[in-house]
Parts: sequence; C-alpha cells; structure tokens
Amino acid sequence: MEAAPKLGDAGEADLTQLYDVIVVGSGAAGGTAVNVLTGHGLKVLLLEAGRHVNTAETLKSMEWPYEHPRQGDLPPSYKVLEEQDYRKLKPPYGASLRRYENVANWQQTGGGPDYTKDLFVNEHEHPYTGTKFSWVRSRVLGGKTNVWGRLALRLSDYDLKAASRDGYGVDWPISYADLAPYYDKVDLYLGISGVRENLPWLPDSIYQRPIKLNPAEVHVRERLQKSGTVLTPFRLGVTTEGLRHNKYRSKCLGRGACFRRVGGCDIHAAFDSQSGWIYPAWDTGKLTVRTNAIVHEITVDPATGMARGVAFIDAISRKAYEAKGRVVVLGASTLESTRILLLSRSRQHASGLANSSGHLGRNLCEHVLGPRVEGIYKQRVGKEPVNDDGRPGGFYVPRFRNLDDRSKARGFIRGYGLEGSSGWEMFPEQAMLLPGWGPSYKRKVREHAGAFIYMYGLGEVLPRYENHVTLDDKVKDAWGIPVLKFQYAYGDNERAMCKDMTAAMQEIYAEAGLEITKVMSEPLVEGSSVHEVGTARMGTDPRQSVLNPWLQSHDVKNLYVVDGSGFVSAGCQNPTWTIMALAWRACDHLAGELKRGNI
Amino acid sequence: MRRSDITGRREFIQLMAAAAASGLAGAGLSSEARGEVRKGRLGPQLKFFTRGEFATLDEMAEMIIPGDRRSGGARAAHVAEMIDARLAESLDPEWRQSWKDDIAEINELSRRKFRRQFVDASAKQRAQLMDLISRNEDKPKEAAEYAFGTIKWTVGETYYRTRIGIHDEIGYKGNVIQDEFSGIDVSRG
Repeated sequence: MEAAPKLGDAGEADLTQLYDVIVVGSGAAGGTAVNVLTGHGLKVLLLEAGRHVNTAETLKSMEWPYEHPRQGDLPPSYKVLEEQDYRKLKPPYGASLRRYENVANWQQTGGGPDYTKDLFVNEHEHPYTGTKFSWVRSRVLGGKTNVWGRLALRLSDYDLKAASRDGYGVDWPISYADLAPYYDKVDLYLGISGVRENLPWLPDSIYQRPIKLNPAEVHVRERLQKSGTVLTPFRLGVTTEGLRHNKYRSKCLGRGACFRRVGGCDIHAAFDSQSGWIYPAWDTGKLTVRTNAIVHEITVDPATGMARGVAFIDAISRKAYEAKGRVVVLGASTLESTRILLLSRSRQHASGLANSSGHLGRNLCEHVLGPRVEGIYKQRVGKEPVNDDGRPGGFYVPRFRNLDDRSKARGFIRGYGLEGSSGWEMFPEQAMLLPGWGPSYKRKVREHAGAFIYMYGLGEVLPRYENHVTLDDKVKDAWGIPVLKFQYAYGDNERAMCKDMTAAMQEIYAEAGLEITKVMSEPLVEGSSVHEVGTARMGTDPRQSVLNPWLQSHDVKNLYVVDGSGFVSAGCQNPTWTIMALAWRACDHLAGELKRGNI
Repeated sequence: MRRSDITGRREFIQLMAAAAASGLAGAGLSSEARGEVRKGRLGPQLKFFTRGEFATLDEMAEMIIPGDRRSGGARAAHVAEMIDARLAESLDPEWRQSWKDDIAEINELSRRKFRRQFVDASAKQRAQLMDLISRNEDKPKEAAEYAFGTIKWTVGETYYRTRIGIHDEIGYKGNVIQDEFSGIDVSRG
C-alpha cells in the first residue's frame, strides 16, 4: 500500500486559469466526480471545505484501548451530543455547551473515539436552526466516507418506481436498467464484498470474497429460509481481495476495529473517497486540489445566466476567492449542496439558483432507525472464545414488507431492512446489560460474551414537500455564512413502520429460538441515519424538479449536483453506493455534453 | 440529595442505555492509568476523590468485578484510579459532583444501616448493602440505586477495556491479522 500523496495546499491551486470542471466537495459524490472527469481527460479543480487528514496515520486501527491514555476516548474538552441532547437542547446545539472547546455530533458517540475526532465538525462553528435534526457533517477530504458504515446496497425498481406501485409521491425519472451498468462500474473499481441472493428488490453486485457468518447467524439464516426471508452477510464497500488498479488500498486483513471506532480503516480496505477516488485521480496530473476552501456561492455570468465558477472563503486566512470553470459540479453532501444553491441567490434568482421549480430544499428524506432487539444465542453461552471479530460488517436482512400482496403491511407503505451482528467483539456488551454484581456477574459476562446478538431496523422515510430546509439569515456560521434551518418531522408512516420493525424482529428471535434481553421500539431523533437525501430532486418536468435525470440543473445547464440531493425518494437501502453510481453516470453525461459542445 | 442530581443520574443511565442500543460502548469514564499503575503499591496518587471516597469506590468496584483464579478484578486493573483520573480532568462540574454525591449516599446508607462507613462494615454487611442497592437495577428509584447503576456501568466499561479485562478475563482473540475471515461461508449454498 502506497502512502498518500501530498495535496491540497492553498498555494498550489492556480485560480487564474479556467478549469474544465470545478468540483465542490470530496466525499462519495465529489470523489467519484473528480475520478471520472479526470478519467475523461478533463482538467478539474477540487474544492474541499475541510483539510486533508491522513487517516492511514490517525486511525490507528490496531491500537488496544489500554495503549491509549483514555482507553481510546476523547479528551475532556470534547463533548459528544447524545440522543438525549438532541431531544433536550434547542438548535443550535453547541450554543449552550460553551464549556467544551469542541462539540461533536452523535456519530462520535460512546465516549467518543479519540481517533476520529478530527473528522467531524465542531457544532460551535457550524450551527443550524429549526426543528431537531441530528445533522452529521464531516468537513475533511473524503467527507463522511472516512467513517461510513460500509453497507453497500443497490436500489431496484421496487424503489425507483415505488410511486407507481403504491401511489405515493413520484417515480424516479430513471429505472434500474439505467443505473445497473454504473453500479457494476463502481463495484469493479472500488471492490465490494457480499453473497449473491438473486432478490429482485435488492439486486446483487459483482462481489469479491464475502465475509463469513458465525454459528448464531447461520442458525437464524436457516430458520428464516423457511418463511422466505433472507439473512445475508453484510454487503460491504470493502475490498476483500485487493485492487490491482489502486496502489493506495490494501485488501481487508480481518483485524476488526471497524465497529468499535465509529468506522474508518487505516489501510483503506474499506472504501473511502480519499484513497478510492481522489489519490488515483491525482496521479493523472489532471487534478488540482484546494482544501480549506469553503464554497458559499456559485457565481453566474449575468449575460448568459450560466455558472461562471464559485466563490469561496479560505477557512484559515478567511480571504475571499473566486475559481472559474466551464462547468460546476456540486458534491458537497445533500444539505450543503442545497445550502450553496440557496445562498447563490440574486435579483434574478431570489429564492436561490436552479430553483425555478421552487422545489429546492424540499422533500428532504432519509431513513428511520431506533427499533432494536438484543438477545442471546443460548447454544453459545459458556463456550471457549474464538475469533468472531475482524469482519467489517455483520448480517443484513433485506426488506420483506410490501413486496407483493402476500407481504403487504398493515398501516404503512414502503419497507425496511434489518442490520445486525453477533459473536465475540473486543468489548463484551453483556457487561452493560447483565444485572447483578460479584463473581456471578463477572462469570456471566464472560460466558455470554460470544452469545450476544442484536439487530435493528432501517426504514424508508417518505419524501414530503413540507419536510424542508431554508436559509436562516439571522444565524451565521463561523465564517459569516447564513446557516440552514430545518423544518422536518417523521409522520404516521414512519411511526407505524417502527412498530412493525419491533414486532417483526421479536418474531424473528422467537422463530430462531433466541432469548430476548432487550427491546427498543422508539425512533432515534430525526437525522440519526446520516442518510439525508432529496432537497434537489431529479425529474423530467422542470416545474416539479430541480435536476434533470442526468443530475444537471434544468435552469443552469453547466451546473450538476451529483450527491444525494438528486434522490427522489430514499428507498430503505443505505445510499452511498447509489450516490456514486449516479455521480458516475452524471459525469459521463457531463463529459459527453462538453465534447458535443452542448455546454 | 438535590433533586437535580437525581435527575442527572437518571438521564445518565438512560443515556448509557441509548449508547449501548446504538451498538457502541457507553460513554463515560475510564483510563489515564499507566502512571498510576506503577504507583499502586504505594497507594494511588489521587487527583479527584478524597482517600475516604476512593476507598469506598475501590471497594465497590472490586465487589462488582472481583479477582479470582482466572483473572484479576477491578482493583488489580486499577479501575478506581482510572475513574479518579478521568473525573479529575472532566469539565463537567455536575458530573463530578454527582460522583461525590453518589459515594456519600452509599456511606450514608451504610451508616444508617450499620453505623459504619461502607469500607468499615463487615464483608457480610457490605454484601447486604450491595444487594439492597442493586435490587431495582432495571428501574432505579432511590438515590443509592442510581448510584449503583452509575458506578457499575463505569466500572464495567473501564475494566473490560484493560489488559486484564480483555485478555485474562474475556480471552478476546481478535485484533490480529487474518488471511481468511473466520466463520462459516454461506456463499456456496
């Protein structure tokens, strides 16, 4: 595995030249864009609001807790927002927590791993207002992909054409056939691990070596087969066999820090945008990177109405700059891209750029989670320890509701999947759950350490016009830029879905003969999935959508938005793989349009 | 005991439950200990607790996770010292005070029942008291019951991340390089 190239110094980016494409943001979407566009031979400037953290050095995936001064936890000047903080505090969440230098979002939860503390924004510097929402932001090269959950799933026409199936909302303007070739490209370029299951509603990928299941998981898989429900090893955006074309990534070595430290992989076996997309793009010589570049506006040529470039502030010097390009690609994350478009308001575009439809900021959706069932696989109690750890994921139970008449759910539309895991991990969760004290408590913790099994649901939140973000001009971030204001809430469909998740998981435990030790049924606070999508949805009708089916603005032809904001609905699958397939497709289109002289 | 403290502890325990539910080890106190470890023989250099408070916490910790033939307990793993060090550097005055209050509550209860501080009570009396304050572990109501929950949670969270807890006690086999994932391959039908 080769070390990371040095890139991103402010002085290195030549701002006097006209780039073919300016890409804003370097996560899943922006990373895909710079890689695909440089692959087309285009000259690309990548602007990232945060800095370049070399995760190969900072994550220390194999360090033992006892080798760290705080057993791996954050220093005391850090405060991590917990579930109860989001319910108790009023946004902006950092406002009342001044005693801490850094207030990080819930993703840093669990005492907060020290290793990932530089990957999330400080709430003091990045406030937002409105209704409660856990908005996890990672301003750093690679964005949230540095610590993502790695579950890499495809959407199907059950999701893309869901409106036609159940009458709610609108269909996507593309179908699975449009996306499938791009999922294939992403699979092959980044590497994905999984097992083929031939499910029409969760299409298979082109897999490398799968992870394995432990006896409890195989037991549940076999019991579920009788009712036609599938339990499959996590489909992981991890290269388990290595990639000949990428010298920056090692194959997975089965070490196992993947769960205990938010995520992240210091050998880049788990995909992250830095090593997966950006370093190889850098090696083409076509890419310029400027970090600490906070883009706050797309500049527009008043004569043509086309994008001229972007205005940004250097995060350190606070000086203002403009970069110019023939095309602007936003991949700053769903809500930050939308924020930039809203901020790009002018006399001609009073409600924001690319917003003639009025749909910009609308239809914010994500996934609901919270219901969770924990238990014990009794056959494993008291057994000698084996190494169950070292997998980058556990198991996944694909959607089983509302697929046909037989699986129609009462009280809600759409569906959910279940994620879970079991077996020995470094920390015995049972220590926190088993009652009592003394020799018997200690013995029980040890005996149950390999028998623990848990699962939780992740379900589709319906897109709703009224769930939206706007600008709050009264509150500014640390660089004087107006912040986002949320107006967002779950509805009856999500609440009914959560009830069903809880009941269905209990049924699975009962069917598999697992002892239930804990049942949680309430949804976590809004935004907790970190899967926010929508707010600049794609469509064929410019009056009803912000982007066309190529993620190109209806209004401004040399503007593309390639992150999750183009989603029409969330499906119930984790979105990263779809974001990258869509971004690749959009950038192929962009390159073609440039070549054809249409932009 | 001020009501706000009781509320604080209740929220803490709920918070811990939520942290566990999200699949991540609970928030809380722990380490900074290796320096202290060396000083163990001479008695720990306390940074936060008084000698008396520390003795109570240390005794409770050892009672929760005692040493046995297989592995050392909380005392051998220097759990109470680590808690002391983490509280010493905490920037949350309510949290720090709640630990003092918790330990005072345990000693107060011990004095009421046995006319002795917790550490001066007999082994049988201490066990009686631990049984009493842990009886409603799932749904604590009394201040001492909340105190037990906080202390047990933190002792467990700290102990099972020490060398003794991970290796000697649990016998964890991971965090090694593996050519092949362990487990059962279900990709071949």
